[in-house]
Amino acid sequence: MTERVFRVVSPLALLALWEFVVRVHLLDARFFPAPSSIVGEFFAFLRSGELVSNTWMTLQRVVVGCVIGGVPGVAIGLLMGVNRLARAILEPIVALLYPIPKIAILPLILLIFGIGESSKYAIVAIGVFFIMLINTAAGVRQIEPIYLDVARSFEIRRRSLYTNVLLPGALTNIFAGIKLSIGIAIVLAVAAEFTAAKSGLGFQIWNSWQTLQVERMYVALVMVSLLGYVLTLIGSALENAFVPWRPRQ
Amino acid sequence: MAALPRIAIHGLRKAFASGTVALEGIDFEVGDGEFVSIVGPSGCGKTTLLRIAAGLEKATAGSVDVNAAQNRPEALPYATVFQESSLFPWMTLRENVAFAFDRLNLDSGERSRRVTAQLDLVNLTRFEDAYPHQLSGGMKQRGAVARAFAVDPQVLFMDEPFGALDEQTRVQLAGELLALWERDRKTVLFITHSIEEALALSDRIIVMTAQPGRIREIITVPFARPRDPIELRADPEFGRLTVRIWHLLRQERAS
Repeated sequence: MTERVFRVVSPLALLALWEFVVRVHLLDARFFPAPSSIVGEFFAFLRSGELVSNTWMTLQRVVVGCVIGGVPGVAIGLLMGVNRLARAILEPIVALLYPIPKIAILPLILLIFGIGESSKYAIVAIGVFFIMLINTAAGVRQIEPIYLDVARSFEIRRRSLYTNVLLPGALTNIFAGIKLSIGIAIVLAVAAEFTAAKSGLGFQIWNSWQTLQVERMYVALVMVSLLGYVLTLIGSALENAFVPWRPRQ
Repeated sequence: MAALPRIAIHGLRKAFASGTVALEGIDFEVGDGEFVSIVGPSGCGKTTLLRIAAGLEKATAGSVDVNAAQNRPEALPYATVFQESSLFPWMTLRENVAFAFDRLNLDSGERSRRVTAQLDLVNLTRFEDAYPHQLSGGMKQRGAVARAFAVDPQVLFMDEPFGALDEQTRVQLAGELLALWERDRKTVLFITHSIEEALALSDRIIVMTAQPGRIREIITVPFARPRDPIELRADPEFGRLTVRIWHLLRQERAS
């Protein structure tokens, strides 16, 4: 119970402290506008419809990119987890490509996909693909050998092995990957929007800097934060629905 | 004993890649409907022996024949009960037992009927929709036993199925296993490190020595069936045989 109270109170206390130090001029309001003025700007911006459309654009890029990158990531990860030959072929390639900062290949992606939506989907998808692949493969490999023995012992069919043993066995890791992916996808979408888009929360942040509208920048930052929070909550809800066997704390 | 033994193991040898010889010169047969236990010190290769017999590992040399009918569409030739918790954590108890039928051609009504009957036999009907993490260690092993019996195998391999349980639970489960086994007397190869458990359950006990794992002696257990694994302990012969097996295992340590 006390824990729950603190969970709610601690961010509110930080906001109150922020408001206070700005009002007594301990903090420069030009760089750190008081939360009250950010809230004012938030509603003004909400009414104009721009905030909603920018949030929607970013959300769309995050979700589409996650699906495009995540589905093949899980499929190839499963294959890499079980098949030693597939692992031998793919593991060095993944190890070489994964450390490249995804944002560093944005210019290349813009060259290939152009300035349209597909370049944003592509950069998000690439980042998510590697995370899901690595998490899924690790998930399959940490399945207790006893479960594979049981499957062999009862002559479980190959398709059943994938859908009823390997996939559920790796599901906890897959969901850990999904939560990581949400964070990475937002980072990549926002970063790509800085220079390569005329819409989205990243564009709003960049544009506010260029026009010195600091409050607007904060409004966008708050929305990015909320977007990540809500998507993570949805991820957790999905996990609870799909992993009912996991003992809950 | 039937003309053809259910399990026939001859000249079995198992060496690991490291060069360690786990099993050497293993020879024995198990007849139809016979309950045979293997006891021995840890590291004597008894689990390896069972895994080879159950087709989960390959022998380095020698022959292993399990003569169980492959052509019964409604049953598997043999089934295994493992030591650790081997129920899939992502399936309910009921789904776990039903999953054993994956290979078999059963319509869903028959499948469901067999799962229900089997869970009832091990007194787990109330827990059929529970996930393994919600069950006690004893219930999990009852579930694993139910799963193995459900596919109606001719041969059962059991690798210390009650080894991780407390003394009272394991005596209780041994009694339940005996009652279950009495119904149709399947051929059983049973690994244990408990001499009392082996005496209570078996027709014959294979005593093994370690490094490399060899058969020291095969002891015939004289008690009449059906048995009560608790009352059996009052029999003077039970004490004599316990001491005898202890001596066989102790000599091994002295040498």
